[in-house]
Amino acid sequence: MRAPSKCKNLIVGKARNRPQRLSVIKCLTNNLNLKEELFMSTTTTELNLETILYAKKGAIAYVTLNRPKVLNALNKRTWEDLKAAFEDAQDDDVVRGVILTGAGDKAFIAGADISELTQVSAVEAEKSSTFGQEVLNLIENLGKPVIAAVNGFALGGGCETAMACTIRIAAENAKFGQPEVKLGVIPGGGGTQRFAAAHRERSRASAHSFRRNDRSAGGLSHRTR
Amino acid sequence: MIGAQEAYRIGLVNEVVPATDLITRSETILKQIFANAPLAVKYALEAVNKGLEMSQAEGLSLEASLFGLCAGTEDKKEGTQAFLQKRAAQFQGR
Repeated sequence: MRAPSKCKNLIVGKARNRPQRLSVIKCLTNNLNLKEELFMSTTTTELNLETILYAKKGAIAYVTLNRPKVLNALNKRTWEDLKAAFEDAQDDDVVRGVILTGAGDKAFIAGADISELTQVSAVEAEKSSTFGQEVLNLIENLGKPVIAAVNGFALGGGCETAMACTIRIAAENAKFGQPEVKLGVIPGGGGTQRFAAAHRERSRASAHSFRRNDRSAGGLSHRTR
Repeated sequence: MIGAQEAYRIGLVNEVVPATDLITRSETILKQIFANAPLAVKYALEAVNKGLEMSQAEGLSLEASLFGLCAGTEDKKEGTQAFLQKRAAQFQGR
């Protein structure tokens, strides 16, 4: 199958993957207004990623959570795929920064996979929390800037993932929250720590030079539109 | 659950943009960062992230060490020379 001419820059893997991957890219470009010439490298296939799309263009790596039917909820496989993609981005000297976003126009990451959560024991839950924290530590300490392009719901693990990124840019329809306590648990991906740390810094900053300008009272924000 | 503007007000997000501008704005920010020396960006991120987990005295010590490491790079030579010669620096990440 030949790629449509406007997708001529697409580099795709095995031929059998082409139709599906092209349609996924089309969906992404429609929803996120990505440039048509954004190409998908063979990396998603090479790294055997099931739940995310991973592409590189120039110095930027694009990591896109790709489970839009479940609002890009995080399950075990998603955490593993995120780890693999970010390890690749860290090791690749050509990559100098990463944009992390979610497929579709509803969710960045809506949170943990609740059906998976209902099945786990206490010991398993502790283990999965620790693993998620490791992945977010990798993102936070990548040594390269990571921008969370928050295109919708960033709840629970999604909000925690955004907080582990270097910079957060929100679409006007983005929603943030840590609703874990409503389900009888607490944030398990660093949410109790990173939000508190950010708030502490904000309080410290706002006591000094930021107080006079309420728009930057957060001390973490630089501008809006 | 809070909306984008409230997230901005409390400092949770850096910017709020129309959904259609999300990726292009993110790319623009990254490209601005890419104009800087890669190792300096790396060490700056490390100093801030690790510094937040340390006492201020420990953080300052880390900052001084990383400042010293930056001063030994080829990019520091290029960056300082380019500044004095009033031209754009060409960083190599070394």
